[in-house]
Amino acid sequence: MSKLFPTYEIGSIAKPRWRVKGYAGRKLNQADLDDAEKWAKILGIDYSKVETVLNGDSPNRKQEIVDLSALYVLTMFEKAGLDYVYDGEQWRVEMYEHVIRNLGGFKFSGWIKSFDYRYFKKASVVEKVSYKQPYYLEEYEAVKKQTNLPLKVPITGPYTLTDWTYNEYYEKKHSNIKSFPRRRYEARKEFIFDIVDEALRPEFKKLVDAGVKWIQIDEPAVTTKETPEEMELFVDAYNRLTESFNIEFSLHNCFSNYNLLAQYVPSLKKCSQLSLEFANRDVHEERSEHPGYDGLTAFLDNGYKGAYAPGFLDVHTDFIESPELVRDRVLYVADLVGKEKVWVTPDCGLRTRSWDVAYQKLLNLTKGKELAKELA
Amino acid sequence: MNIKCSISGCLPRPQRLISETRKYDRSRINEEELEEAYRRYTKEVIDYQVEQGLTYINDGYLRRQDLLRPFTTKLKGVETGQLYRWFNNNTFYRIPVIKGKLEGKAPFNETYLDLLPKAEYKAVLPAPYTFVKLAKNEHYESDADFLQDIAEIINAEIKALEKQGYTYIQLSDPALVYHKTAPSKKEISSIAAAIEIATSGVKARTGLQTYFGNIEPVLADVLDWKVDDIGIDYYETDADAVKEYSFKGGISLGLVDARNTLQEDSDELVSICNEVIDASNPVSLMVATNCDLDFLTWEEAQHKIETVVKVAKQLKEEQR
Repeated sequence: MSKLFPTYEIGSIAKPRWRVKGYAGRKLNQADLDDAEKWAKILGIDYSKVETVLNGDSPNRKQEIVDLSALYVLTMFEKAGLDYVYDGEQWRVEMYEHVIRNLGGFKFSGWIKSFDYRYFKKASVVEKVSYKQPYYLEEYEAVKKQTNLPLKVPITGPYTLTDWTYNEYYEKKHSNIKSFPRRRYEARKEFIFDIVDEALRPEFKKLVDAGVKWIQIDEPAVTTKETPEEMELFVDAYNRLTESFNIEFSLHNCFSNYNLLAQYVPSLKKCSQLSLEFANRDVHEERSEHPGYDGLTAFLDNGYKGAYAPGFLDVHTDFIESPELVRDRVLYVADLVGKEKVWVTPDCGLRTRSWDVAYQKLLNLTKGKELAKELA
Repeated sequence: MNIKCSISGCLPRPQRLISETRKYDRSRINEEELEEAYRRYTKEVIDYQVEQGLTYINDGYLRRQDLLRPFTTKLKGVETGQLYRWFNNNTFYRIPVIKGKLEGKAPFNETYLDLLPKAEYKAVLPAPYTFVKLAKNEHYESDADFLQDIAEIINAEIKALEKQGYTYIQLSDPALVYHKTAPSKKEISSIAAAIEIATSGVKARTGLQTYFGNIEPVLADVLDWKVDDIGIDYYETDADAVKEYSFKGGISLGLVDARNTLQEDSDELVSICNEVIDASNPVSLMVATNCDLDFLTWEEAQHKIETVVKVAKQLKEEQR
């Protein structure tokens, strides 16, 4: 990892319609096929092979479709010039459900309101958490064969898995504690450590044995409960999760309270970099001052020693950052934290953007970092 | 001892209604078809409340997008802003952005009155302080001015709802106890004044329901405020500390956890109620959920309602 301003994408990329419908066993229409063909052309993928899978009725068609969409994303990342790649989470239904559905001890209920007419699914933990089968390993093995570039594997962290789950089993187990707030906390603590010990560490061991060199731990839920007790729980779970594995670990957290997070990241024993979301907080003009990134000083002031991927593309807008804007932001951050500590990434996964927008943004990201390199 | 039971907020949309709202969101059904679905499932949740025997019922507020939204969208001087996190939950509300003096004609909350049978109705509204803390104020010079104006709007709302037959008014005040938004000592008197404005001339019974935080730090003050019941989130509150206070009015005890699917042990809850009654000597005790039930599915919410009713029944038996 010695190159200046290395690049990667954070995690998920939108699943193409042919991937979603094809996986669900629904018939593809001409527009779906045209889209697959258009992107095959852009990415230099042999469409005749794609067509055979999409129009075929092989018993493995579902998996072949997943492999194809993973290949499309990997190729998009390669073509965009990223240094580290993965499959845009094409193998996963969603970051939470993917893990929980593969573990023992959980029960999903129905849709819960997120806001307006948007909903999400939430599970209850009803028995002790248990490991049933690998859930990140197969994806890694497959992706490894599809690219020669180094890989960064994003996984959902224990704090988020805990926070997004109803806690039945562990609260019941601690029902001897009379105070309800205390009961809930003790139950949460045991639950999160079981997620670490019973669910994530066994998978990490398999990943490390299979050759994974870098795991990015995604923790979007961290700082939603802003008490010291909760933040310490996050830190303890993170350290317990990464303990004794000799690979790189990084933390991704976005749309969050960074002043609070900054106080706790120095306590993460194995966290070589933070990938954060600052482009969303910055101005769009090309200029030398980018005060949107000044929040990084909280991490410096608190003594975090690792590298920073502060986010140079806003993932919530179709505005395409120009290479010059990326360059200016990178140089501004390089001045703040030191150029050798800057990694160049989007704020978060580009899942909510169309492929056209996502690809253009990534192309400009890598162009921008090249421009920055010339001046750094 | 007067024992009652109710839900401290709205109800979740049943799954089939959720499907309809998703269809509507994707333009696969029209406004009329959505309205028909709302009426059908509102009827279902009303019938369930009546059947269970809650002291106070309402239409579940299935249509309301968030606690503030009727005010956010209908008040003059307010624009609907971005999504913000709803306290420490994985759910979101749209922030009211205050651009001018608050004005408007109550009622702002439209409910399905024609579907409600003759009964005691409970309205659920934001308390003035919570509204102020959750809004983005770009108009008022001070929070105190903003508080006073929103309190007057809420007072007009309560009076309009009274005319519609509402006999219980819950003012939801999570911001008063949530650790990040809890007031300083200095702010307390203007919040008390806002409550007094909001409830002035109101004949319905009123309750200040706090949740998502520990009420103990503000309890000594709140006990003197012009509301009939004080609501406590038992999952957040230091219960032993609360036992040190005696209540002049009623307590609404948030004992059934609306943020977890675990079914509570009703015997345990009954014994907690008895302890609270012995220690705090309230004039009445409302067995309640700690907060809105829309953190759960309608199926799970029904189990919670059953628990609320069961605990109240058991308690009544014991108190007899």
